[in-house]
Amino acid sequence: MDPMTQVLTVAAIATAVLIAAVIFRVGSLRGRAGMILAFVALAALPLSITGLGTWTHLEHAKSRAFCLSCHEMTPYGKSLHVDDPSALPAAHFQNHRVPSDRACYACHTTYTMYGDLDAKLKGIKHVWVHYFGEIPSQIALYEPYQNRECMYCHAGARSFEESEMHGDLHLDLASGETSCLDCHDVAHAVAELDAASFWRPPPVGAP
Amino acid sequence: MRHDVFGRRLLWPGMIIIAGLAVEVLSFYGTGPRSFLTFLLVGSVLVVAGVAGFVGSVVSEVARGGAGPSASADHPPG
Repeated sequence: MDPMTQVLTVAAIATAVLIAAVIFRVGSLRGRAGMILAFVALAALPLSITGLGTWTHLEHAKSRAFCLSCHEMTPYGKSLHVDDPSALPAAHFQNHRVPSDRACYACHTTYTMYGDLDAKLKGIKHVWVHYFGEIPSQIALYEPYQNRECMYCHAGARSFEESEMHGDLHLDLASGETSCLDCHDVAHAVAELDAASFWRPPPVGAP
Repeated sequence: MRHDVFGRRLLWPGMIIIAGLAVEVLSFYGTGPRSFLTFLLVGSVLVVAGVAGFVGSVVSEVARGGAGPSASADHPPG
């Protein structure tokens, strides 16, 4: 259990004890001080714990294990282990170019001002659809993958700047006029997984 | 005494909040979507409902007594 979860657990238990003390020791509610105590115990603390707990769960939701815990994501998790240097997700994951435990979130969140919030709201929607909705037969991005997400890490990097393949395309790539995926066009390729070879395939049942 | 009545009115909101907090704490033991939904749809709903019940009790108590639960205890009528 991570430290924030431990703190929230202790805070919730202490709040429950305080609530019990307030409602069963009714003499403690005399006057202004009593009302403030009641407000803290029965409103401020519970709402604060709920807010922080929501934030904690959303942080956990960034993990690769969380994403891959839904069965429809299994092929996408498997695609991280294909033995193909041209496969973008595999190349990034296997070479630790993205944090291994947050590989999905690193690429599938936009690096805009509200990108984090947008990704989390979409994630909540995906959880809702998984349990209560109809899972689409074809899973696709909401919009074409933007160069901005690639440039967040690659812009200014030596390997990108000095690559002969990019040549005079730097401005076009930076502006989005030319998509990175025009050339780097192998993403998860889940339809071809049966024929793929794997580098250190994940243990059965592992994300 | 008025504060006894007020305290009794806080019993159910308090119990609901405690139940909500218990569900929230239990949900922290899992990190998957099911735990997240349990936290969101059960725990936080119970907590918010309990807080709303508390606020409603306070509002009606203030409206009735004018100055909180000790009003008539400190300043008996007549």
